[in-house]
Amino acid sequence: MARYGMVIDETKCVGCHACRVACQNLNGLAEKEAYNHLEEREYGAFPNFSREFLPVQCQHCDNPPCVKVCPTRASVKLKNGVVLVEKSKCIGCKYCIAACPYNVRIIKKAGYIEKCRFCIDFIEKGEKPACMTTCMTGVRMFGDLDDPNSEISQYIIKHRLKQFKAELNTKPRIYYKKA
Amino acid sequence: MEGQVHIHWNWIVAVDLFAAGLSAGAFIISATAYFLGKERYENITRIGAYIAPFPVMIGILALIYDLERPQLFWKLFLTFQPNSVMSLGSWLLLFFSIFSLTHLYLWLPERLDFFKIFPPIRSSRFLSRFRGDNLTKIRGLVAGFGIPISIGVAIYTGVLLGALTARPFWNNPMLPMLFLVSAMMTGSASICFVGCFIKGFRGMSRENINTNKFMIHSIDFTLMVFSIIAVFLFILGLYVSPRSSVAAVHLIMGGEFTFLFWTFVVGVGILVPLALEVYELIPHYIEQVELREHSPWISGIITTSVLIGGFAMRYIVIYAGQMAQIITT
Repeated sequence: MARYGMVIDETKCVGCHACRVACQNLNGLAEKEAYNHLEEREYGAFPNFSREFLPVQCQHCDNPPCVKVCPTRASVKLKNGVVLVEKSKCIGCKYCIAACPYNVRIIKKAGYIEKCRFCIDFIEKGEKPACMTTCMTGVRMFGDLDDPNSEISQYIIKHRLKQFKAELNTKPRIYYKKA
Repeated sequence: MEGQVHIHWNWIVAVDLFAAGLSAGAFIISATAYFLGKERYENITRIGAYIAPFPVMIGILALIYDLERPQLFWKLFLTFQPNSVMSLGSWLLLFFSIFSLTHLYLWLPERLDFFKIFPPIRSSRFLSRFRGDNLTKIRGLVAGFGIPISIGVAIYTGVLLGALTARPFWNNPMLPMLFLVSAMMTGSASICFVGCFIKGFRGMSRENINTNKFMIHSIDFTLMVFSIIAVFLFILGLYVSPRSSVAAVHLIMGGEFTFLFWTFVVGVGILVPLALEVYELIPHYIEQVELREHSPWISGIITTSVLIGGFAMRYIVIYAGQMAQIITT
């Protein structure tokens, strides 16, 4: 069984928000709803300073706090590594929103919680997620983390990539390449 | 976009945490008083039993109203998730409601024993065992099993928030302790309030008033000392934790909630009533003189300020917790 993961190369991101728009189009989201967002920050001191964009979406953690805290088992972790919300079970208590350190969960109008689904319909057919295919600078890389010979696994080992907020023991499946 | 704050849990959740804590506190005080002296503290036990079921019901309604899909709340009771404090809490609240209602029923005066109106219940040998000769035993059992459940309810309100590693302001082992102490404080304050202003002292001897008064003031005094310690350890615990927690504690130490926290939670909620309790109790402790004459002003200020402080504490913790974020490099 493949266990999907992603690499996000922060150094390539130019902050065009195309991934956000592609995701919104695909999932039929309103203007202010988004499953992925860019965290923007400035760092360094004059004259050596710069600005970076950090694309953040559901990290599909291996130790997902949202699944642990869900009182009705609406948040589930699939065998292929994807974390999903079963909307028929969700009662909208918003506890998972409070538990998620990445702030990527949103409330839909119908009253259930939704978030990035890793474009599960696409990846099961062997295609790539929409945020990845739309990106003009190739920030994202998608693949099977269980296969040590896959492109993504080799890339993670080669660049010694780290996860985002890994100190919280969420064991995220998205790796970041930082400047 | 970093540092963007979304408040998803608003004051309605604070109402629930406050109400559940108040009920649990009232039950704990009532049941404890029952075990310490069945006749001596009967007033405290009885008033606590009358109070306990009602705030928690308001709290449960508030909690259900706060759901995005209130009509589906029953799904909570189709499953039991030991990892989810929300699931544990909903079960605890269910059992607590049952226990506090039973406790209330057992302490109703004989003439209000409405179940006796129905002949099948009156004649049923099984059901009539719950009243009459066995009353003392049943009361003791309900109070005894109710205490751990109500302690569970009071702690759950804190653990619900404290179990989240993603929120540095909440993720502190002292928070549930602070909530427990505050729950018992608000519980005893509500008992004192109802005793002084709703029930009144009609038909009570002066000695009886004094024993009950001494008991409730002593409980209050002890709890206030413990809540000062809990607040101190809570703030200290955040200060000696990683960077995100230090940034989080700045919300109440110089940041947005400083005024609210120190005025309402510490000042109104702890220090003012503590000063009045000292005024009431210390001469009695030191010189063993008679308690002061009952003054409605003192009891009124103590109880209302404790209740205000208890609610303010929940309110600030709910909002501050969602504003504080994990900071990473």
